[in-house]
This record gives sequence, C-alpha cells and structure tokens, in this order.
Amino acid sequence: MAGNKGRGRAAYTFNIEAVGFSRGEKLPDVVLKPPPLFPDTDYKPVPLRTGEGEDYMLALKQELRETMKRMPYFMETPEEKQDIERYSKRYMKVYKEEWIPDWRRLPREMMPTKKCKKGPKSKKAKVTGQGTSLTNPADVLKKIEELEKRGDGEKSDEENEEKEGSKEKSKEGDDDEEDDAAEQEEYDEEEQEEENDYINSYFEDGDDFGADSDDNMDEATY
Amino acid sequence: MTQAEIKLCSLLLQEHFGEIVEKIGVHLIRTGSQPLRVIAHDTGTSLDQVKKALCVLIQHNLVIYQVHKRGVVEYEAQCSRVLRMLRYPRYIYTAKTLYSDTGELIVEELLLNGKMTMSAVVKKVADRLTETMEDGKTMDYAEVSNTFVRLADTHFVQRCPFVPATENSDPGPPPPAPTLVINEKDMYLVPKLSLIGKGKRRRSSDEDATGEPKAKRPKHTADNKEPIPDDGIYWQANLDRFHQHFRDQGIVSAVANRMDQTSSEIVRTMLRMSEITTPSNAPFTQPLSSNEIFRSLPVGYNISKQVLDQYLTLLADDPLEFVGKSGDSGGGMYVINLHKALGSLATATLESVVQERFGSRCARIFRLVLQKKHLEQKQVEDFAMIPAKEAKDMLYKMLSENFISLQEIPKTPDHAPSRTFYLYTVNILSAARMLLHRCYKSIANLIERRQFETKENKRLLEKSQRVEAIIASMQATGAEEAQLQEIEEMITAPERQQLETLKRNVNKLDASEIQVDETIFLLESYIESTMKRQ
Repeated sequence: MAGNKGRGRAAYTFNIEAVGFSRGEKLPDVVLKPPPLFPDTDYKPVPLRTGEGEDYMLALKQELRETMKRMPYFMETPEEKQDIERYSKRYMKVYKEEWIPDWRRLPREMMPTKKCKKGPKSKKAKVTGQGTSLTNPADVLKKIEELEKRGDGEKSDEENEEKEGSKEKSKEGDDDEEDDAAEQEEYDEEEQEEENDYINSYFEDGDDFGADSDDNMDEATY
Repeated sequence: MTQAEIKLCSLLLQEHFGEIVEKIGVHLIRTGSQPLRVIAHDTGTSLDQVKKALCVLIQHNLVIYQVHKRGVVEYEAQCSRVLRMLRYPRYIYTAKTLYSDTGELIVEELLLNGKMTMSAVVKKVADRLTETMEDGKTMDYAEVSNTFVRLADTHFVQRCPFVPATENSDPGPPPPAPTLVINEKDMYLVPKLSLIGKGKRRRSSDEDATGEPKAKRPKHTADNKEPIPDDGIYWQANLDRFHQHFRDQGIVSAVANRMDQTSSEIVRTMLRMSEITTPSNAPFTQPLSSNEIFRSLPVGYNISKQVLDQYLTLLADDPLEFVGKSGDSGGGMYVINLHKALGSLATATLESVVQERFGSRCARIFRLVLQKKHLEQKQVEDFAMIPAKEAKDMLYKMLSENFISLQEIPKTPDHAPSRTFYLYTVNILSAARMLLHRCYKSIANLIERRQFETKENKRLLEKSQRVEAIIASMQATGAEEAQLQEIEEMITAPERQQLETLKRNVNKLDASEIQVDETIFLLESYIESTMKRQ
C-alpha cells in the first residue's frame, strides 16, 4: 500500500526494449471494452471469383436447397393456425412421397409399434372399466370442473373418456405406442362418433343456454 | 466440437431437413452418444418424432448407432459429416466434369438420398435424363448402368456396410440392432444386374397446377411390386475419393501457377498413376520412375524424354518441394510430397489472408517470420526494412489476431521477464486451426444473413411466385400477349428493383459460401494430414 508509490515511479520488471517500446515513451491506451461488433476494415475484400464453374455450382446450390425441401426427408413442423385460411394454400400444398426406411438396417426400436385392429375396442373396454383406477381421480375431477366451466357440459363425459383414454395411452405409451398420430385422431373421432348417435349438444347445455340468453337479455330490458 | 461448428451444423440441418431433425441432430452433436429415450426426454420431443428424425439422419449417414452392453442402442452424430453438406454442389460439379450429365445425376441422387440401391439410382436417373431430352427420345438403362460401373471402378461411389446374412439356426433372440459389416474388397463390387429398360417421361397430362392428381401418383409407383434383384445392397457417394480429387486439383493448379502448364501436366500424370496405389492419407506417393512417367504422359503431349527429365529435375529442386527425388533407378525415381504440398497450400492461404486483412507490409513481416522461424523485435525491423513504430504496430496487430505468437526463451531458471528473450514465431498448425474456426463462423454468418434477407422480402417473393405461376398457366392455356402484359404489371417497377437487389445479394452470399468452403477444405486437409503424422 504505502510501499512502492513513494519510492519513485513503478519500474517494469522486464526489459521494455525487448518488446519495442523505448523508455519514457507514452504507451498506447488500455482497451476498456470489447472490440466493436462490426469493425471497420481498412482493406476491402477481394471480389468473388466468377466463371462458368462457379455459376454452375451456384445454380446447383440453389436448386439443391429447393429440392431438399420437397423431399420426404424434410420433416415439416406443424404450423400454428392462421387467422384467415387462405384459399391458395389448398392449391399450393406439395404432395410428398412417403419414405419407408429399410427396417433391416435399423435397430429394432426404430420401428413404429404394430397397430392392432382390436386396439380401439379393447381400449374402450379398458377405458370404461379401468379408466378411473388408472388415472388420478383428483386430476379427473379437476378436468371435469374445467370443462363444465367452459360450458361443454354434456361433452365432458366423452371428453373425459377421451382424456382418460389418452392419459392411459400415454401411461401405457412405453408398451404399445401408436406412432401414427393420424390413426390416433381417427380413433378418437371414431369413439366420439360412436357416442354421437344423437346430437348431444341440442338441449343439454344446461349451464350455457340460460346464462348466455340471460346476458343478452340484460341489454334489451326496458 | 466448437460452438462455431455446432452453430453451423444447426443451420445446415435446419435448411436441409427441418427444425425437428435439427433439434435432435444438434442435441446429439452437443452431448455425444445417447440412447433413444434420453434423447426424447432431453429434447422434449415425442418419441415418434425422435424415431423419424433418427431414421432420416441414419439414412443420410449423419448418425451411426452402436449396441452397448445390456442391449442398449446408442446413437452418435458425426459433426464433420454434417459439415460436408456444404460441399455437395462441388461434388456434383466434379462428377459432371468427369462423367458428364449421367455421372452428375447419379452422384446428385446418391447425395440427396443418402443411400440407394443401384437399380433405384439407375431408374431415377434414366427418368430424369429422359425428361430433358427431346420428344421421342429416351435414355437407356444400360448407358446409365455403364456410367455407374465406371464410377464404382474409380471408387467415387462405394457400397454401404450391409447386414450379414446369418443362418436361421441362431437360437437366441434377434439382436436389438444389426451390426453392419463391409469388406475392403467388396466395397466397389458391382452386383451383376441386367437392368433392361428405358427412362419414362412424365406425361404432360399428369403435370397439373392444382396438384390433386399428384395425390394419386404415390399409389402408381407402388404398383411395381416385382422383387428388386439387388435388394439390400446400398451405395453411397465416397466423399474421401472426391477429397482426394480436390487435393490433386489443388496441387496441380499450384504447380501451374508457380511454373508452367507442362510441369503441371507432368504432376497431374504422376498423381493419376498413384491414384489407386497410394492410400489417400499417405505423406507421399509411391516412387515413380521417369520411364514410367514418360510412358503415361497424355497422348497429346509429345515432349522428348530429355525435356521430361529436365522438368522433373526442376520440380525436384524447387524450394516448395512438391516433388522429391527418391532414387536414381529407372531414370530417376520421383515422389510427390503430399504432406508438404498441403502444408505449402495452407501457408499460402495464411499469407494471403494476412495480406488482404492487414496490408502488404504486414504480409512482408509475416513471410519474413515464417521464413526465419524465430525473430526478435529488433531483428524484424532490420530484416523487413520497416520503421520501428510501424513494425511494432503491425506485429501487435497480428499477435492480437493470433497469426503470430510469442515464444519465450528464458536466460535464467527463474524466468524473470527482464532476462527473457521474446521471439516472434508463426505456428502454422495453430494458425491454420484459428483460421478454420473463423471460416466456420463466416459461413454461419453468411447463411444467417441470407436467411434474414429472404425472410425480409418473403411477402414480395411469394407475390412474384404467384404471378409467375399465373403467367405459366395462362401461357399453357394459350393467352394473348396483352393479358400476359397485364399480369406482369402486377409487380410494380420498384418491386422489380427490390427483387433484383434481393436476387443479387442472395447470389453473392451463396457464391461466398461456396468459396469459403474451398478454404475450409484446404485447411482441414492440412490439419488432418499433420495429425496423422504425429
């Protein structure tokens, strides 16, 4: 602390001549911040090579990019719903060929699990029978309350079953997953359709029906 | 894997295979080899999608699997193979120069699909070629097969490892994953197929703008259920052979630049003769006698034996040491020093970068330090004949960018700074690595900028695509000139200008990517060759 400051100025521990600064010279400023993100360059870059080969490779590159997007290997992420459904979207869809890998060359766990035709029926039986025992009763009750609030009073039963079914599926997912999401959706629809022999929502929206009409009536009372 | 490499891999995977495959691929590159469930859990994607993504990656040779103890299968990503995707246009163009359109399409199909059977490749390429031909002409399968066989003979395509045929008397349960084997001599063995047929042209009535008939098309192709004769024998492009070709090209053009056309032809002949005999990572080729070289010179070149000998002596005496003399029998035995040649090419790249970035005086200092290996500050000023202040400034600039490094030589065992020599030196290997890293970053920046430019003008691009589609369909149904004119005016003049600018920028960025990739190839080859020597 008190030490070196009083005894004269700080001396370098090494020979300053060796790195090129002469004694007593002003040293360059200390850099206090990181270098700029887009520094100015003194020398502009050399122009790119042009020629037949380069042009051809450029065209190839751009074509390859487009082609790759249309191949079956390009996995599209499902898009979020758009606010307005564009008419032209229907006609601009690219139909991709389905690609089936050679299962003999891949580990067995890669294969989608076999879909058994008996699945839906037996699952339905399981659902009604074992639904509540497998799933958490508290969760189920919460779901029912939620759905009732939303007003789908009558559908809550079916949706409940669906939810139980899907929860059960996700629990049993390790054993017999269905890789084909489309088939899952079909199955759900099937189940729903089986229940919907009659239009369920016709006169059974007990909570919603009166409440909505009441709200509307409020404005119109004289 | 450095951050720059991972970022570049992520951009490449996303552009070519979509976001899901990118997520899985990058996760595997980052964390190493992992089993299926851990991948699904860590990335938060559903098991079904992880499986599909892994299938795609394995198909394209980007991920390999291994069976570990207790039957757990682990998947590992090959980061360097992902980076090869940048070089696909160069591979395809090389195939075009060597084997014309047929070869080009064969290599393109193999690269786009990862692996394919020979019959599938031949059929697809014949169909594609038929479409470009005039009406009435079709491409014969035999011709495509011939080109394929030639590609296999010169090792540009190779067989993939296959599932060994096990006898069914195996008592235990089937293994969780097949172990793929490939024999060295089987790698280029073409199966005896008699592929007879002609390419099919897609009928114009099938081509439809609405796209609805296309939905029926996949069912068409499933019609031919006849057994494929070479089922299970898959082929892939042999990237190492292409790299060898690029390396040879680089050496030949370097000799041509340094000396003249004739010497480069001689070197090209020598390299061609050693193609099959020398493994690709040998430090130098097998010795070739001057007589052999004379016999193998291309037919057009009629230089006398004496002139050839003179050229060879000149080449061997050149300080760059591309060609070395290894003996005197047979008129003189000559080898090509592949490792030294790659070293010279890498050094030339470094010098060129220093010159373009810092100026020619810096380049002079850099070359000086390269030549003299270790120099003190004072000596640099003296030898380079540059005033002290500027020399100091330049040295420090290069030092801060890691082109030059300091070597400390202590005079006393306590390494006191006042009694230590500080010498400037260039460590080529580490400078090459640093430059390679910067190249990866550059390409990542270029790709990001290109994607940004495209996204900015997405609306305009879509509009112009729609207008083009309308014009095309109107032309097909026969519309008048006036109507076409009207449609074309839907895009206003400033919009056209904007599109032009966009196109020019995107082209420039793409071309830059291709050329940076050439530098990457040089540096990677040099680093690989050096690491093998150690």
